[in-house]
Amino acid sequence: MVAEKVFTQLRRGTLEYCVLALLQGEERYGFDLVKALGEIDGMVTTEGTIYPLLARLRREGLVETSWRESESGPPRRYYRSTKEGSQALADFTADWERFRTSVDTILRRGIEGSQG
Amino acid sequence: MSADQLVDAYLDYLTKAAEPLPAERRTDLIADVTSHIAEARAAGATTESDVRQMLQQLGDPDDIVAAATDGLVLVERPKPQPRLGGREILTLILLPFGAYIFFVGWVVGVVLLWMSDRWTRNEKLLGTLVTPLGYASVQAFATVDGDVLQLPQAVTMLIAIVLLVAPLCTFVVLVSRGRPGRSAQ
Repeated sequence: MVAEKVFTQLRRGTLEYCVLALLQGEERYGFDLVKALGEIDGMVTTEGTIYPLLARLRREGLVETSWRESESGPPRRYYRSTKEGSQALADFTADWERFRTSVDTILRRGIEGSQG
Repeated sequence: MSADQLVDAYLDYLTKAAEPLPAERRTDLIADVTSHIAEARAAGATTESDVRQMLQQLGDPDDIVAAATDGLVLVERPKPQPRLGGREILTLILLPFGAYIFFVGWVVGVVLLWMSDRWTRNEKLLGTLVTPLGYASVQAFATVDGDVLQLPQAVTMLIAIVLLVAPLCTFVVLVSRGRPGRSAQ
């Protein structure tokens, strides 16, 4: 339970890159994106908060959008990663791997310490 | 509640919660959530309990608005103030007539006048000096004139008219000019 807060922060910090990752090489509309994130364990607790996040990515030029008709109802807003979005994702992925390795290394020492 | 009512209540709440957002963010957010709900219902969330669960996953509208607020400094708009509040109306009564309330009524009126934010410094000076003690000064003049001064009748009339009209002019000026925040000008 202590970790709850930490994971809230981690989720908040990494969610936008997860969104960008889901948009590499394919377009998705909002609902589809939300559902795709929801299927991944522990990534999304409040689906609605993804929409403000998408709006921010759009303002920052990391994604672009276009409206498309759907067969079943109102038109959909499709999201697509821009070149800047893909670059931001690549940068983050490199940093994240380094960060994850560092945390893993230290956590492993903790485990070894408690056993020894 | 039916499924439709649940959705309406949710969107109403969201619309209200989103009020402080800038117009563009607000309309975007409400449109996004509205179409999310439409998609979810088209995708099979039909019964009341389906819809309830879908809205629960969507989350508390306050949380969603908080996420949209991220990075914004929201300035809370002060409630619009009436041009003249109860205190100002009391001031406008006490200035001409307050002297009849054990004299201190006028003093209270002057204090209230200077405490108010509805008038500039010059307007406050006007309210204080035209006329000191308000209509009591007309009476005082009449008494003094009758007993001591014995001015010609025409002069007495003129002064009396000025003393009668002056507080009325001040009153009109203060009523027409009074607005919140003028004291800072």
